[in-house]
This record gives sequence, C-alpha cells and structure tokens, in this order.
Amino acid sequence: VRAPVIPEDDVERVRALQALALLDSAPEERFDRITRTAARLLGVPIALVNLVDDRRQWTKSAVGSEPGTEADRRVSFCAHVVGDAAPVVVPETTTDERFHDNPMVVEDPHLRAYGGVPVRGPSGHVLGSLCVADVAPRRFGARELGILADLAGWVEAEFDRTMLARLSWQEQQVRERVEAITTAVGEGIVVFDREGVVLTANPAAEALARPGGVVGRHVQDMLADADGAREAIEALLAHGELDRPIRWELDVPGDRRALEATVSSLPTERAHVAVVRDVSARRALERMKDEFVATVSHELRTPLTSIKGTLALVLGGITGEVADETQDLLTVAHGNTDRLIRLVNDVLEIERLSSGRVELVPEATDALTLVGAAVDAVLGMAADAGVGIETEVTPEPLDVDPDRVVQILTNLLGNAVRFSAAGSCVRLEVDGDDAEVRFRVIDEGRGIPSELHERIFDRFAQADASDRRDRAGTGLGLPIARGLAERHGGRLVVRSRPGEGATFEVGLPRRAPVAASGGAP
Amino acid sequence: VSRRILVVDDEPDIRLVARLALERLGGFEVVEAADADGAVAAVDARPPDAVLLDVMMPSDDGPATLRRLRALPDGNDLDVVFLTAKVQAAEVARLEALGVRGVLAKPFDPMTLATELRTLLGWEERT
Repeated sequence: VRAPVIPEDDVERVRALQALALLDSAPEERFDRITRTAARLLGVPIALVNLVDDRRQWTKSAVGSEPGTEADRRVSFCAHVVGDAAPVVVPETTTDERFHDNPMVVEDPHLRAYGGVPVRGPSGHVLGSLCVADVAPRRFGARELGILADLAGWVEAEFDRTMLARLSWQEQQVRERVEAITTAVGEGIVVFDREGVVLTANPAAEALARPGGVVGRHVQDMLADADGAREAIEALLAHGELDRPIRWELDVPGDRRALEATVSSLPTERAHVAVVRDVSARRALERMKDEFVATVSHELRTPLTSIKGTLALVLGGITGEVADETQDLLTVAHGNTDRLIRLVNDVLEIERLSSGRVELVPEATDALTLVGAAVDAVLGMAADAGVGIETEVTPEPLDVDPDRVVQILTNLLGNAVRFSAAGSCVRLEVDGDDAEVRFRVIDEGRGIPSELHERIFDRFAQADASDRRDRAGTGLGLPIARGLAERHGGRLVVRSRPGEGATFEVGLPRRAPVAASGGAP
Repeated sequence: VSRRILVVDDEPDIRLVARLALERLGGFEVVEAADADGAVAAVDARPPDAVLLDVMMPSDDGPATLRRLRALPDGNDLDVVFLTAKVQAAEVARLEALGVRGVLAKPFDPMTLATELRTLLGWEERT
C-alpha cells in the first residue's frame, strides 16, 4: 500500500468538513439520488459519496455498500483523491502499486476498478470524493469522468445548501441569544440610525421611555424635556461616527428622573447604540448623603460653638481670675475645640468639592493681594513655631475666587510651617506667563519620599502618621487645596526628595473657568 | 444708657455665651428670643438698637424671621446682623442682599463679638 498524501492545509480542510456537520449524520435522500444516478449512468455496482477527515473515510451515501461505513484513511481510495486534489482512476487494482495489497482489494469486497473525483466544500477545500467502483477490471474514460465531475458539482451544491442552512441556524441562535441578553439586562438599549430614528429598543428601554413606544420615533422626541439632551443629540448626529463612546447625563425634570447614557457607534450599520440607565435612585442617595453631611456638621457645630464660646469667656477672665493650672487645661480644651471645628469645616468642604457643589466667585485680583492675605493668616502660627516666612512676589493680575485661592495658599503655608524646624524658613514665590500664574510654597523640612507624592493628596493621609507636630492638621488640607485648584482649572503638584524639603506648586489659569458648576460634563 | 441688643437663637447655650460676651465685654444690654415669635414680641414691646439673628432655626429661619420683623411698625429701621454657620461666599452674599448690616460667622469668638458687632453697626467704641 502506498499511503495517500496528506494535504498541507489538512487541518483547515478537516475544520471546513466538520463545520458542515455531515460526518456521522443519517443517510439523506438528496445525496442518495446522486449515487443512484452515478451507478445507473456509469453502469457500476458501487457508487459512493465519501468524506475524508483527519483519520478515516466515512461514507455519506452508498449504492452497493452501506452508508455510515468507515475505513482507515491510510487504506482509503478516496483519500488519494483528497491528497492529490484530482481525479484518481484505477482500471485494475491488483496490478496498481498503490492498491494491490489494499484490504478492500485482497478481502471483501475485492475491488478491481475505481474512479473518483474530488468534491469541494464552500471553502474550496476537497472534503471527499464522489467515486464509483467495480468488482471487475474496467476503464473509466473521459466520458465517465465527465459524468462524475458533473455529479460532483451536484454534491457540492448539496454541501452549499448544508452550509447555508447551518449558517442561518447559527445566525438564528446568535440572534436569539442577543435577544435574550438584551431582554434580561436592566439597562435600556436603543439603536438609532444616523438621522436619529430608533431602529430597535429592548424592553428596559421601552420601560424607561414614556408610553407610546420607542421604535420608529426620533431620539430627540423621547428626550425632549431632558436638560441638555437636544444639544448633545444634535452634536452627535452632526458628528456622524464616534471614534469612542460618549457619556451623557440627562436630568429629566418632568418626572424627576436622572438618566445616564453611554452612546457608541455601530460602524457596520451606520447607527448608534445608546445604553441607558436610570440613576435616579443613586442621585437620591447622593442627595441624602449631602443632606446628611450638612445636617451632621450643623448639629456638630452648634454644641461646638457653645463649648468654644464658654471656654473662651472663662479663659478671657469674664468670670474672674483663673488659676494657672486651670488656665492650661482650659487652653487644651479650647485648642481641641478649634481643631474639631476645623475638622467639621474641612469634612464639609471636601464633601462639597467631591460633589461638585463648590461655587467659585471669581473677580479681578492680584497675586500680591492673595499672598499678603495668606501670609497674614499664618504669621501667628509661624511665629509660635519659630519659623520665618519669606515671599518673592511680582504683581500678577488674575481672575480667580480670592477667598478660595487664599484658602489654598493658607493650607500650603500652614503645612510648610508645621513641617519646618524652628529657625528654618518657608518661602512663597510667584511667577507667571500668559496662560497661568504659579505659586510655589517651599520649605526646608525633611521632605517627602516620592512614593507618597500622590498619596498625601488622599483624604486623611499624612506623610508620617506618627508625626506629633502635625496635631493641628485635619489631614484634609492638601486634598481640599488640590480640589480648589482643580475647580479653578488649575493644578497642585509636589516636588520633594527626602532630606531636601518640599515644594508645593499651584498653577492657576489667569482666568478661572466660568459657570463650571454642576450639569452634564 | 447702654444700647440694647436682641439675640435671636434657638440654642439657649449660644444665647448665654452671646449674652455674657455682649454684656460683660461690650457693655450692652441683652434681650433674648428663642424663635421668630419671641423676636416679634420683643421688638413689638420695645425695639432694640440692634438684632443679632441666627440663620438656621427650626420653623421660621433667619430670613423668614427678618421678614416678620420688617413687617412690624418701624421694622424697616431695625439694624440686623445675621449669625450663620454657612460662610460660603455665595451664601454670605445671599444674606447680605436681604438688607442687613452684616453677617457674622458661627462659631463666633465671644472675646471679639462685641467689637465686631460695633464695627458692623458703625457704633463708637465705648469709653
């Protein structure tokens, strides 16, 4: 036996064969009528449609044999048709060096003659053979091969039909799966064309929209009363295709709902898909949290006001002379009351910053004025700590919220003083260019290791939690300062190396962004 | 004759601190009211020289109380200073726009309260 050639692309060929799902399938009349026709036209006792996979030949249809029969690929006649990708004609098997000792020749059914032509699948791979065989020697000439080739075309047409049926079945599966998923999700999914007309919508989207259905309507009508939706949709439709998803936040005042939508383009369909979520509950929670924080801080501040006031009056000698020791103890209580009040104020401030509710009141001012106010605010604590403050400021006009910028600078100066040794100095430098004004607070303290350069801007983080000198800090000064700088469209960064002090630089645009509060981004 | 100041705050403790600060350090006479009704009654009985009015109060808040005081005969001539824990610029501007002499931040420093009040009202330092 000479074993058949294995084609180079056999793996892909076998995969293409398996994709048809014909292997090990039941006999089918549509193939049987081809083998019957072949047997009749060529006057042979045996006609077969054989499929050849990676290890065997399998008979799909047979005259003179049984459908479903297998043979090892190495002794398969049809495997030679597949290996050669060409017709194979054997007029006399017993003298053919390829087949003379083939089991099908020396044993039952004792084949003496064979003629097979390739049958190709939709991908062009040779999947098997349409073949005829005889138990007596005979020649298969051009006429016989022509008939076989024509009938092979018929087999191939049946393969194509199989493929189409499978593809449409698979497509149906995919469609049903997508349908099931889009029905199951809680988010509304709306597909609309480039003109804004809704093509499909899942049940969640139908539920989110007002009564009257979604499909066929214009997205604009559905979001008619959502704040900012008209402009966003117009911009999207004018833009055509999106290269990345965009996010909309829509407030629907009519029924007090808040929607969040992520819109992406479907490039193959010239359409957009919007995934819409009702975030009303989340918004309500955020509102409750805001109110809670505001209430708690008010409730905390009221008793603190009484405590601080009472202590201040007693310390001030209103009720008579206070003994030294008592004075010391009351001073501790008074100082800690201040600290608690600062903490409450800072928590409230950071909460306002994170919920975007800090409103800036920008006005024309100058770096000189701002620096002056900030330095005045920390002179007392600097003197107590024995730390000097130097400034190097040129007049730099800018449009910012002066209270907020003084707050930033005071926070930074206060930090710098607290981390400076007695006898050292804190510098405040200012310079600027066309776009921005930069304030630098430079200390000679022990510096901040680089791995903490971002962490110190986290809430309640301190470079060294065991630092006893930082008792006056709330741990919120830096995050608040950064939040306020960013609210101005600016930035706050630190440059420092351990042992070499630290420089905090605030860069503020000459003009704070106007009306930057709240709303859709 | 010392000036009379009406302190309106729902917190008795804070009224006590304010009273002590204004009486002992400012030499003022202090009248207290715990709410809008009390304030209206006090002004009605005898108009004070100034009103120190808390903003956050249950039922009628500071601005609502102010409206009721203004509705009284001669109410338009009352000198009012708000006392508020909300010291954001926007909030302070909103309160100032209501036609008061000034806005003081809470918690206040009782040692300087009388002086700050004098400054806002344009009163001469007591000698």
